[in-house]
Amino acid sequence: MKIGKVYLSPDRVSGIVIALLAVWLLYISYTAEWAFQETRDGLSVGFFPRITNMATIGLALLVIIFPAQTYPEKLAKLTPRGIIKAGIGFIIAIVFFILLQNFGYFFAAFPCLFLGMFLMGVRPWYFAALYGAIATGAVFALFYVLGFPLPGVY
Amino acid sequence: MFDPQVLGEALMIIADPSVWYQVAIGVLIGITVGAIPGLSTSAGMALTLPATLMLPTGAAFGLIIGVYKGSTFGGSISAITFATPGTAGAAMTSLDGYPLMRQGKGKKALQTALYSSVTADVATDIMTMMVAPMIAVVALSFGPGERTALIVLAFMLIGTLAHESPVKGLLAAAMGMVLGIIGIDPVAQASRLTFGFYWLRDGIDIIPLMIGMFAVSTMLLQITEHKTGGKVAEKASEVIKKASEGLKFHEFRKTFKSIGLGIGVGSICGVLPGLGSTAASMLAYTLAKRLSKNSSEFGKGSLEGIAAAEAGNNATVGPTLIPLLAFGVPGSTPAALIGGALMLKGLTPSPMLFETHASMVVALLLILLLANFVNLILSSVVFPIYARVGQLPQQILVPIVLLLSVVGTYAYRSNPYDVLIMFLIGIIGFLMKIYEYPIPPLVLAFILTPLLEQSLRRSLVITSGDVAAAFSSPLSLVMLTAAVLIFFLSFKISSKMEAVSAEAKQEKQADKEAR
Repeated sequence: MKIGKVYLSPDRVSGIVIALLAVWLLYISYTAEWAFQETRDGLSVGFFPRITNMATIGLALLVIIFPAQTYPEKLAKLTPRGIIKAGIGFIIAIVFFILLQNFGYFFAAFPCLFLGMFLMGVRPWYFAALYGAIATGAVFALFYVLGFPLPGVY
Repeated sequence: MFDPQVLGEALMIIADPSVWYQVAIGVLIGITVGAIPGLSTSAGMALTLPATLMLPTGAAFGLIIGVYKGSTFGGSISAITFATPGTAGAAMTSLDGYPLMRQGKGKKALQTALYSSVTADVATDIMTMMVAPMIAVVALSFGPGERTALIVLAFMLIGTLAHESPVKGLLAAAMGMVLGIIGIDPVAQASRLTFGFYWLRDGIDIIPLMIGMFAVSTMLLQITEHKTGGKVAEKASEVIKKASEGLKFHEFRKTFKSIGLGIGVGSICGVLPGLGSTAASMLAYTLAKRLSKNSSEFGKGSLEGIAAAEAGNNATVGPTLIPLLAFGVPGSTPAALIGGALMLKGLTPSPMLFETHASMVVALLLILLLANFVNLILSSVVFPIYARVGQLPQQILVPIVLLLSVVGTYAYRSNPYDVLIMFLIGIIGFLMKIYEYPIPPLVLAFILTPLLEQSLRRSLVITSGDVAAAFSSPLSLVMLTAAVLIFFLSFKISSKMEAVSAEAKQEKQADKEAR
């Protein structure tokens, strides 16, 4: 992407985002109430947040000024379809967590694994169900062997 | 220094059968994780970290060390059978392992990898057992000023060595520092950078951070790339069928020189923060090739090549714990995870640990050594089976790992906010991966920041806020000067390397055009 005469390489974009976030945090560490509280060692509570964010801004500026000459391979391979699929995977993981809290491990794990595997491309659907059931049991067995209680199981 | 009572107590700890049960479970989990391309050693260790909380201390050490040992070797299984390294450290193993596999000598290649791994592991673990307590004695004489300077030096090494772009490595470390200071100020007990969320008052816990950074981010990336396995099923089955193609002793004897080189290089890379197993295996392989009489065979199925790469890779396992145990400074992600397991058991890594919990440290070192033999036995038995694990399709693997990430994070202390943090960190990790920012500096900086803050503030209290006086000792000055030199040198080296790589690309292009 080009803005005027400046080429916005992925390094520059990431550098700008990180720098902006660090500037925001730096602003907080100069304006928040807690930041001025004095401590025994003579430093204020805001001291460490300030120096770490200053370092972040400095380094982000270096990334912006001297970006890498190569385009990130993984970014180049990223497709809108891939992003949507990752988003769906992420949503299934969140749904799994909600179900886990409310219904326990077994009622949450099997439907989510089945759905996840099916959406990832396991066909026919009953194979996804079979693998989902095996994986649900295998994870349970692993946690049982490790002596680590699963939510809603025991 | 040697205390028979401490040794007796340590032996009592490791005499518990649950320790060996967990070592065995850990090794099996580790080999599985290592054999599956896409699941790193760090991801495997991060996913098992919550389980250590529920176990007795010795068994917890057994589990996490078992995973570490198992996965370090496990990476070579898929590297040899499918030319797809299970872990980054096993990349060099595939150069000679896969050609051997294609020649129908897969078992020979896998046995060479296993025996050289275990030999290097045992040798360097013994070295760690001898060196770590001695360095800890020296580390005890460090004041807060020297400790601060040491952590600054570690930051610089970790940031600049972890990635080809030192700026990006250091920026990742700086972001880790920002995440590390979220929570309560250790001196004033006031909340900072919590944005009004009460659940951030205790800061970000190590488990959601590790699982988010290493497991969730990797799985999100794999969904976008959606790789499928299973194309080389026939080749994997050769490992099982051709039982007669095992390694003979005279063949193994020829690899001793390469193993020795691997041990030397791996030990140095293990001790130095930021280098790690990938650099160790590459350096050991290159050195062994240069010094070998049969250098022309390297890359075509040389046992010496496999031995050097695997010995270099595994020789980092023990030494990487030296900075952690002697100074309380983890130099690599696995060391940080072992440090995390220690902290979950109330044992904060520091040189004082050798005095306050000497028997625990000795038990940890003994488990580190003896786990090699469990690894040797189990790996010998299971590698033909595990050669097939690498074929587990991503469609099945990804949902399972995402499920394990959520369950592991939530079950560890039933805190829903841990899961929320894990998801957020997972997204950050995903973005870092696609924009090519290294993750280890962020994680290590996150762990080192509280130590840095504590040491710096202690030294300022002692010197009444005089910064110059806090770092006036010769040792502090040497370390800080070294840190500054590393910072500037890394830029010079990286720009030179970039120029060389651009030149090589141009030459290649010209060569193509000429053809």
